[in-house]
Order: sequence, then C-alpha cells, then structure tokens
Amino acid sequence: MLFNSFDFAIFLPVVFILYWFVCNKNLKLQNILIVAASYLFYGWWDWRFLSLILFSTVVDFIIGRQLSTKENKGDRKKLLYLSLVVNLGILGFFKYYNFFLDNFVEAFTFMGFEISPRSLNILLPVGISFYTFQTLSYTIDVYREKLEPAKDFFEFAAFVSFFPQLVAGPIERASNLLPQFTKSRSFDYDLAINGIMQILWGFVKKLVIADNCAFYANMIFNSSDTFSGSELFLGAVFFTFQIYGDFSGYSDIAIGTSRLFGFDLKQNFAMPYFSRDIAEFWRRWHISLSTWFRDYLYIPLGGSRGGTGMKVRNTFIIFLVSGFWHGANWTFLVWGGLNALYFLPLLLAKKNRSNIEVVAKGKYLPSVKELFQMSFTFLLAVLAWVFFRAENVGHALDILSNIFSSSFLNIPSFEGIDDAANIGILIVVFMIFEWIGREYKFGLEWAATINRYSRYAVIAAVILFIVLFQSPVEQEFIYFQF
Amino acid sequence: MKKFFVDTFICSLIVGILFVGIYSIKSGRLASLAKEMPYDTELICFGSSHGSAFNFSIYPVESTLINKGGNTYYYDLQNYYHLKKKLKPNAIVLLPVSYFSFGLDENRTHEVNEPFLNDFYEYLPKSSIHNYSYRKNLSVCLYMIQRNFLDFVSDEIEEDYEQLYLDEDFDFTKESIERKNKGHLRRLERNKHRKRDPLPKLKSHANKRGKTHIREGSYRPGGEKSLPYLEEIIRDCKESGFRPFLVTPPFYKHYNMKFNSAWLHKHFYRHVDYLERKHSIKHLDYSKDDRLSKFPLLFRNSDHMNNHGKTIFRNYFFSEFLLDELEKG
Repeated sequence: MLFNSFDFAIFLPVVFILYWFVCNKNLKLQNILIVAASYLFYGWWDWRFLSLILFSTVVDFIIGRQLSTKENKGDRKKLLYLSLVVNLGILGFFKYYNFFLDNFVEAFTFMGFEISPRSLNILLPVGISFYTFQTLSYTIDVYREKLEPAKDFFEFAAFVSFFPQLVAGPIERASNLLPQFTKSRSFDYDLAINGIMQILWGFVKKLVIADNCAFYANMIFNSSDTFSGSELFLGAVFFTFQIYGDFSGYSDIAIGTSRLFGFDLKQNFAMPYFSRDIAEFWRRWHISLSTWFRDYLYIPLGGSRGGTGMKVRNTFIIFLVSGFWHGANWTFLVWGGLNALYFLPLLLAKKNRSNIEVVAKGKYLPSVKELFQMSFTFLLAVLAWVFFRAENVGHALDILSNIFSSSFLNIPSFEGIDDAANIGILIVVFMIFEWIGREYKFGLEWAATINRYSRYAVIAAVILFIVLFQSPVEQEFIYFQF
Repeated sequence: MKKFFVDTFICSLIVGILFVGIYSIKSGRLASLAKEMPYDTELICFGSSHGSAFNFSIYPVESTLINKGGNTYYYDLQNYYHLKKKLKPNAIVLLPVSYFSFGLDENRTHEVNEPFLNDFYEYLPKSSIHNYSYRKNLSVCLYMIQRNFLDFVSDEIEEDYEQLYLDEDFDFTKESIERKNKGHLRRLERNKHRKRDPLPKLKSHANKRGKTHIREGSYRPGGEKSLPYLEEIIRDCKESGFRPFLVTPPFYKHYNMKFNSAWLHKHFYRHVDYLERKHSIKHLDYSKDDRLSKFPLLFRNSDHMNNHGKTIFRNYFFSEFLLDELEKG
C-alpha cells in the first residue's frame, strides 16, 4: 500500500479511529491492532511475503527469549549467529542470488568455461532490507545485554512490522522503539499536530519535488546518449532532488504517521544538502542506516582506532557494504566506494567532525565560505548519484565523461526545457523552506508551534500547494526497490 | 482528541471549499469542445496532436477539432460516437493518421502512469473508457483542480496568441492562396536572421522523436486492435452518410528521414492502403509535401508545424480540397 494512494487515505483514518477509540483502554489490544494493520498494509503488495516477515519475527523472538536464558557465552554466540544466518540468508537469497549467479557465470565465461546454471525469477519482497536490519539490531542488542528481550510476542511483532516504517525505514533501533510498545500510550495533541505537519511536508517532498524531478531525470538518464553534457548534469541534479524528496519524504510521512499513534521515531534526514563536507553529509543522510553500520559493523571492526591502514579498511568496508545494501548491482558498490574516497581525506586529516552544528546557526544567511563548502559538497553528491541512477557502471562513466566534456558548455535546450525550468523554481522555493527550517527536524516543523488559526491557513496552503504542483505522472518510491 | 478532530474538520472544510471552487471554474478543453460543439457541424477532425494542423475555426466552415496529444484510434472512435449526433447529414470527417498511430493500444499502456486518460474521464461516459476505474476517476478530480489552476494562470497569454490569426481576410481561390502563402514564406525568410536558426533543434528533435515513434509504431500487444477501431469509424461514417477522409499533415524532412520505406510500409502505408481499397476512402498525404516539409521556419518541432506552417498548410488544404468538398455537400 502506497502512502500516496486512496487505499492509504482510507486505511489510516480507520486504523487511527480503531486505535484511539476501540483499543485505547488495552495496551495489548492496541499492539495486536498495530500488528494486524501492519500485516494488512504489507500484504496489500503481495500477501505471499507475509510469511517471510512472520518467519523472521518468530525466529528472532525465540532467539531473543533464548538469549535471556543462556549464560554460556558460546551458546549465546551460537544463537546470535543463528539469527544472523537466518536473517541475512533470507536477505541474501532474495536480493543477491541472481547477482552472484550472473557474476559467477561471467567470471567462468571470462576464463573460458561455459556454464549455464538456472537463474530464478525471484521477486524482491518490499522492505526486506529495512526490517531485516531492524530485527538484527534487536538480537545484537539483546546479545550485548543492552536490551531486555521482548516478553510479549505481539509487542515484538508490532516492533518488527510497524507499518509506517516497515517498507522504507527509518530503520529503528530496538532500544528506541520496542520500549514504546510496552508502555501505554495516550493521545498527545501536540505530537499529533507535529505528525500532521511532518506528513504534509513529506508529501510536498514526494509528490511535488521528487515526482516532478523524476520525470526529467528519467527522460535524460534513459536516453543519455542524446543529451549534451550540460543536459546530463541537469539530469543528475534532478535525480539528486528526486532521491532526496522521495526518500526523505517517505521518512517524514513514516515519522509523522507514527506520531499520530503516539510513537516517536528517530530523525532520518537532517537537511543533508546543506552539509559543508562529506562527513557532515553522511551524518545527515539516511541517518538510521549509517548509524546502524557504525554501531554494528564499523565499531566492532575497530572503528577509527588503530593505524591508518585499519581506518582506511574499515571506511571502505562500511561504504562498500552500505552501497551493496542498496542493491545487487556494481553501480551501488562504485557509489559506495566513491563516497569512501570522498570521506577518507577528512578522516585521515581528523577533520571529519569539523562541522557538527547546523550551518549558519542563528543567522539568516550562510557566509561565503559556508556557501562554497555547501556547493562543493553538493557537487560531489550529484556526481556520486550518477552511479546510483545509472543502469550499469559503463553507463555512469559515459554520462560522467559527457558531463566533463566541452558539451557541458552548451545551453540546455531539450524539449520541455521551459517546464523543467519551472520545476527548478519549485526546487528553489522548497530549498528556501528547508533552509528556514534547518534548525528544526523538518522544513515545516515551525508551523506546528504557531497559533491554531494561522496553522489552519498553513495546512490549507500546503495541501493546495501539493495538489496544484504535484507531478501528473505518479512515480513509485525509489527506496521500495531496496 | 476533541481539539484534534475539530482542527481536522475545519481544515478539511477549508480545503474542500477551495477544491470545489477551483474544480468548478471551468471544464477541460476536450470537455468544453464536446459540450459547445454546435449541431449541424459541417466538418470534424479527430486525431492526435498531428490533428491540430486541421483547425478550420477561422475559415468559412462550421468545424470542430477534437484532438488530443498522443491520441489512440479507440478514443477517436469514442469521440466520434459521442459527437456524431451533432454532425450535419453529409459532414466531412477528417481522420489524421500518423506513422506511429497503428501501434498504440487503447490506453497507451506502454507509457506507465501517463495521464493520457484524464481528459476523457471528464466527459465521455463510463462505458466509453477502456478499463474504467473509480480510483482513476477520483485522481482525475485532483488533476482537474491542478489543470484549472494552471490554465487560470496562463489563460491570458494563450488568448493573445490565438487572436493573431483572426483578423486576416481570406480569399479562397487557388491563385490567391498560392500568392498569399508565398508572400508569407518570403516574409519569414526575410526576417529569419532575427531569430535563432531552428535547424539544429529540428534535427536533434527528429532523432529523438523518430526513435520514439518507431518504438510506438512497432508496439504490438493491444495495438492490433487500432486498425479495426479506425475501420469502425470509417464504416459508421459511410453508413451514416458522412464523408470520411484519412489525412496526414506535413512533417519536417528530417523526421521523415528517420523512417525507412520498409518500416513505413509495414507499419503505416500497408494499413492505409488497405483502408483506401476496402472502404474507397481517400488518404490526403501531406507528410512529404515539398511546399512545407523543406522549410524549417514552418515547424515548431520535427513533426509539428508552428502557427506559420499551420496557416500556410490550412490555406492549401482548404483551397485544394475542402472548398470543393464543401461545395459538393
């Protein structure tokens, strides 16, 4: 079920009313409702994938309970490994089987051996990368004794399948979200209003920014051989805003929706395109995933401790794995590697934590230096996104070589350039609001604190803005493919 | 909780009133045309954006042009049935045929999520919409709100543009049309140094558009019904006493060069020839007319004329063909 669908427009109020009016007196009933609603939400795509999430839930619940009863370190480790093998095994099969098979065959063919194994027509279950990592955070935290295992199955199932963030994050830590299912929840007006504003802002990002940019990004990337360097760069910029609007928009809608039910999820994007360096960018982009890798992979590998060699190794591992998490394609690996190359100089020079506070805090405008830093970081991100969007590495390199050719100096003049310019204006307006709201958690959060009647006007204006400027062509959320 | 519901209700009311207001401002172009089309219309033209060349609203003929960009023969057929009651007994029915048209299925499903159907949902009956969906109907309401707002903002500019051609005197003898058109072309040539050279853009457009139309014209799943839909229009026209004609407007020469003769025969001329033979219908083919196809100044892009091109073309078409047909009628 998509957030921007009539099905969801009916689903959400129905679940909301049942949650607060029918089930509000009983915590267990509320959790059961969340599980039922979440399974309905997820099964709307394909009911067959419900078995996978149920299996993952049951396995990790049992392993969590078992971990609490085992004292022996060896037994505890075995249980942890079992959880890792089961979860990563399912993820690996559904996501990476054909990738490894195809590359295996290509490698053998290259060496002169013809083999023709059967590739399978495997459907990628929506959200598998997200909920797998979410349940893994649970078992790892229980193993590390940072978290008490869930006692109630429905509490745990609700944590795993919680519908707002099930298919595209944020990837919640069990230590943050699971306790919220064990406490009784009462309706909080301020939290709900904040949630509504964030949902609206999410729809602005998705329907107005992302979908409009997608039209031009797709047009340019799908026929990249017919566009000049400047037009290809424009396509890359459109994709840069498409992926931001799409992904952070989904996160905003997920977080806002959770607030309607009394849950507080972690911020997943913190205005990353205002970052002054790549290290800051990665502290602000897909925060839930980067912190997951930091806590469960980077730090156990040694993190930034140890010599230069270890730092370089760990950095590359993190970024390559992060790239590979996004999809079974060499382009994602190259994208990850490129970001590692961007990041390493800062790490080695110990400048990766130079910009912690929000840019131009307390001021209206950035300084010239900050403007330059933001522009340069933005440019690095745009170039890296080319790999993320391209069909394969060769395609990405062709695009980049054209961008860095003399045709970059041509004035863009493709059909529809006037409409593309109008989208550019929308992007500028949007970024102005993001800039104004940069010290908040999302661009429209300031409106949750103004007086009630002004808020009516703002909400009406935002809804009107969404309807009037949304793209006429519906686009799927990009991150559903992960 | 009560405060939250009150807020939700008030906001919904405000938004609802605004939406209903904007929705009601006006109907879409096709819906308005269909509604305002007079009875006893002498000439009607359907088709895709290529049909826009056949707009005779400022000529001495009661005519309606009801075309839509990327249109399919299925919706030409539905428009025909919807509007035939408003046609004069022996009305002329122009049916534009383009190189890509025979490859399209009813709803152009090769373009995922393309908002092609939105305009038709507004005025055609449910039974005429292929794979009608209530969900789609609801989303069309939002689309109409968006369209009305954007049209309201850009209306003024469009009216001024149309006005350009309303004040001219037309003398419809072939000789004076030839003189008029040549004079028009000479003026354009004289002033061409004031504008950017359109040739590079036309060539680039022809490359891209040619590839797209070859792909669309070759598309088969569902497309095999496009010829029967067109045939049904022709058959019904003949039975109803109307005079149908197949028409193809001028294309810029570089666009024509993108289609080799084998492809054109297989995907276009073979069907046109079949219709001509079976139904004794004429195909008025201006696609490679040298009086227009060679001149880049007459084209907005490689397969659509600009207003200069359309003016010149319509003068030729009216004087060479329509005038005689109207006299016969």
